[in-house]
Amino acid sequence: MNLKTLEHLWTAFVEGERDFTGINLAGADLNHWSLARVDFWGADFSRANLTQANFRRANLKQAQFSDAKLSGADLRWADLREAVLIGADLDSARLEGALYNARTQFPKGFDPEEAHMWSLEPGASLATKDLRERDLGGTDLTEADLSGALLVNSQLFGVVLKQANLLSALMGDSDLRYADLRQATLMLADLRGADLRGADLRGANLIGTNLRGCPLANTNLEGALYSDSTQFPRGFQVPKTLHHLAPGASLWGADLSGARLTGVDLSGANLAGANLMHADLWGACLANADLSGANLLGANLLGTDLSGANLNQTNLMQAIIDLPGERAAMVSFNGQTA
Amino acid sequence: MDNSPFRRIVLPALLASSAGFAALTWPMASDQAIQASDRLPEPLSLWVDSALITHQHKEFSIRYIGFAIMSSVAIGIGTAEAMRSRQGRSQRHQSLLDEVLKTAGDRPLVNPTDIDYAVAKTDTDPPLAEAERPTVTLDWSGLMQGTAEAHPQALTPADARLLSTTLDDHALYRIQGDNQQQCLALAVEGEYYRYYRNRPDVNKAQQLVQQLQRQGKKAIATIDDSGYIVWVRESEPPQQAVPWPELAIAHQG
Repeated sequence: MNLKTLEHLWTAFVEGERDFTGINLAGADLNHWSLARVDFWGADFSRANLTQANFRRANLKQAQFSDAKLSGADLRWADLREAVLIGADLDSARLEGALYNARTQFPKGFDPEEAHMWSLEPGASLATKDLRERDLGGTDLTEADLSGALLVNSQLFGVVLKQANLLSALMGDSDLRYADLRQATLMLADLRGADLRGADLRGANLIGTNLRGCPLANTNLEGALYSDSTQFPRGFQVPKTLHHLAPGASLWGADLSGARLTGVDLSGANLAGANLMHADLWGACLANADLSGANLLGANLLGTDLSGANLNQTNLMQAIIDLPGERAAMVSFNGQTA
Repeated sequence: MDNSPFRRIVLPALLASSAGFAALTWPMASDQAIQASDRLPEPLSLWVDSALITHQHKEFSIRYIGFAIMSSVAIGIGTAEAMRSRQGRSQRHQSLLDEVLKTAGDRPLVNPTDIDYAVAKTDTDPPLAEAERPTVTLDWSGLMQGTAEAHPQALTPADARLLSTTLDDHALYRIQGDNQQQCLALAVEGEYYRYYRNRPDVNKAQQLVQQLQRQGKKAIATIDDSGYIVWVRESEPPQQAVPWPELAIAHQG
């Protein structure tokens, strides 16, 4: 352990510095030190004494903890992705909400799920989790469930959120430049002030989304869905390539495959030839809609109001249908392939 | 004697406690107490009259004396605890300093000549005026892994050039590596550079690039209006590389 390094850490920390990326603290005695929210990305804590140290919300990505003493340490909500903890003593350490991924190396026999840690991988379940002010740039969270998650003021540059569920997520002031949000559900999400320049939002669900104050230069919104309740930045000219979901809307031949359209009112809409494959239409109103020739393969139609809908030549294969008797009697099933 | 616990902890606690007790019992000894209580608003003056002093005889309320004693004891304990905590911090810092001075001798902890702020500028840039030079108080490059004592490695001119390029100067791709996960990447001279991290200023970007280079990774940085973005070269060709859509269909009025 280099004492100069420890002295630098102490002096700079007292002066307010919180970025210690790559610092070498191998073998250091930091027991009982309070280092919450400090950035230790890539730091070396090998063989260090970190007993009862406080690393709450610290950025410990790619940090080395080989043979470190972490007993009783507070690592709650710390970022331990790609960290090396082989041989580390984690006895009584608190790890609830700490982030990890497939490249985090734990001590033998350690179960991160048992410690209530959060996995940041494609398809992860992170609904309602607190991920604010985190550096998650470039992370692949394809198809992750982030509904109701708190992502305010987070670094999400280049993050992959393709087909992710961000229903009601709070993402204000986040850096979402070059984020991959294709077909992501941003329904009712709050993105006020988020930087979306260069982001790919093709086919994203923006129903009820608040985009006030979001820079949208070079943002690709082709095929994105929006409604009257969507709040775009002031002065924003909505391109014609977006789909406006409203009663009586013309969505002929639109690609809405996999879209979460729960509770949407599309009564009287023209959806002829539209692709609604695996769409979630739970509780949606499609009364008197024209669904002739539409593809509803595997769509969720539980609680969907289909009264008076035209289902001529509609593909309802594997669709989940629970039609009440009265409404079923009114639906035209002429020629559907279900 | 200067550093004795009596002088640093016990004495301030005793003084604080005594001062507290004196302040709380002053109205009882003062002739002006009754006048003062008369000037107080209605509910407070009634309480003071009944609990503190009976008008003519100055018979002290037992409960108020008890309250004053308890308060002064609490003040004393609190002061002792605060002083003890302060001394602990001070001793810890001093012991660190002593150890460093023992090992470092006369060498300054931070050598201003170690601070290399000129790496990011190009050959064509005019030299920075003294006032324009970035303010750097600590030489972090000396603290990086494996080179705590070594002089920071200078970047090559090519690297310096890349530090001044923007994202618009390169083609962006969405790549998929061996782990099947997707990420954003730059294409530079036929090679893919995976997004690594945003850095707020040129010093931190430069230090991160140097650190990655010492780990045997080829890294570059691009500049944008929010700071710098560091990219790391993919050692293996990606399984899939799809150009980032350049179609700018959204316009803000």
